[in-house]
Amino acid sequence: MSKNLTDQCVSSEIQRQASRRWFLQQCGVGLGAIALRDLMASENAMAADSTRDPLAARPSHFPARAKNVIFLFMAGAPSHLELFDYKPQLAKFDGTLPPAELLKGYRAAFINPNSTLLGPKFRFARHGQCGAELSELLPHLSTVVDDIAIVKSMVTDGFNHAPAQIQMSTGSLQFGKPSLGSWTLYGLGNESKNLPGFVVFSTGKKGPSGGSANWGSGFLPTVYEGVEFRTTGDPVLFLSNPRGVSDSLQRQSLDVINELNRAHLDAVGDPEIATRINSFEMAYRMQSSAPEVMDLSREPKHVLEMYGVEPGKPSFAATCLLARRLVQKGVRFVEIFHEAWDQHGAWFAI
Amino acid sequence: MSGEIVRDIFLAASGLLNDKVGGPGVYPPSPKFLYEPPASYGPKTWNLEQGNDRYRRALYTFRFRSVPYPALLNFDAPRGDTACVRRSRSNTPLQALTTLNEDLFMDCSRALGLIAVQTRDLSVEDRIRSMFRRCVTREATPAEVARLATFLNEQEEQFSSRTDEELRQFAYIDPSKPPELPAGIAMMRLAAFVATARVILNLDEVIVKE
Repeated sequence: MSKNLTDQCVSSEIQRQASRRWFLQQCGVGLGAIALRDLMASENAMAADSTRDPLAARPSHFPARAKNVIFLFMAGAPSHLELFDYKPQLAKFDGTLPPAELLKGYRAAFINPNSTLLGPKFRFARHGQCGAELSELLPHLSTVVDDIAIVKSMVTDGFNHAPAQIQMSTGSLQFGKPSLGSWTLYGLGNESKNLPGFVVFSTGKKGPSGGSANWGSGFLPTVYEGVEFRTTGDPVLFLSNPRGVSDSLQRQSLDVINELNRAHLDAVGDPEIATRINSFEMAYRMQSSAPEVMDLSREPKHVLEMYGVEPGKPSFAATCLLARRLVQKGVRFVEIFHEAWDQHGAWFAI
Repeated sequence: MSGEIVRDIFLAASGLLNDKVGGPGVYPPSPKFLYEPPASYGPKTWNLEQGNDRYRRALYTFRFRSVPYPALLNFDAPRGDTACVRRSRSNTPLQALTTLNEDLFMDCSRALGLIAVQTRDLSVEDRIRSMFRRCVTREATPAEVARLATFLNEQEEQFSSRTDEELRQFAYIDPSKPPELPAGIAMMRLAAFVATARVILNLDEVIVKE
């Protein structure tokens, strides 16, 4: 009896410890600390070898076929109810008021409970061997439906633009958590030495309403943050040398800056200085590699036609092709954030 | 340091800072395309300051909600469209490009180099020490002075093969209005000091508080 009690105590202690460990690891404290410890541990190595790179490519923990990610975040987007998600019941109740039992206790910020239900406005059909139901609005996607995955199990408790975007990007409604791209870069590193490992294009008419927290590194070290590329003007702002600065002057200046920063790193040991050295090196390499990779006129004609791209004319398609060029150069994660897809009542203008 | 303070440190260390208090926002240099469609919703007015109002504290920079001022944005200044409880802190290649290449940051190097050559009867090392102290707010170590002096001499040597016009483009804030140089100071000497000022201003210690 008493032995059983002791066992119970031990077991509940283990549970308590386990849940405490879970809390520390899952709730932000643990992972940030691990990342920091990782950087601090390498700092001793850095004293001997100051070229250690926190963005070095690392093998994945599990066998994987995918090596890079292109993430098209089409904020707003046409309704899933008109594209992928056929609802026969909704079609049946089209134009009627929602049943009273459905609205019991229902509270909404923007939606009038006396609005009538809207059924699907476009025809759906099954496609491919998998039999996925797609609407007539997706004639091309329906021909490749066996090659894609449609996830219908996603739900969200964030229903307004900015927090919902941040939840999609980081898993949390509030900012401060690392984004998908940051985690990917943190886990797998970058295969390109001349370009950032996590590149973001913000296309459309404006930037995301959730702001750059959508590609932020949260509590991870800031080297894992997404770097924004532009499709108009210089791909990256301030990419060109100032007037009168030759390439050799730029290179020699960086050599002295990094040398003095490295001496300071050896003296104070702040890993952020290593990040700064890294940033300056990458900035220099970006100065030559970014304009080259952004030059779509180097693409063969059939690829341009496949994407529907006219070189020199910015478009969503052109940005998609740029994303492809970047992953071909070893960039781990490219995100295209397109903020102009929001539809609301604009459906019937099609 | 936050973006505004980074900018202010550069302005103050280079002697350009206009410390006038109050008044409406000002329009320091900014890439023009940002204020025209498609980068912006519609055409916006950006009346670039011609006088030294462009060197006001970064706090006075005029900001559109939809077009944040890019040099500050790169240093994590929040956009105007959401409330900001606490600023994030980043350390990116874009920041390096900003302090190395952006117009107004470059003007700070030009101004600091000019200050360094204007004091009479100082050795090269003393001039370097003085620039270093203005930027880093501590005395440079002998090793640091030696490294910077080597760099300065190398650059002066390399500048000797460039034309006067090239040196004016590099070393003067406004090449069409060259400032007066002290007697005995050649253009290539000024240019070498500007290049050295640019190195010192870009040290990690200038914009990071340990």
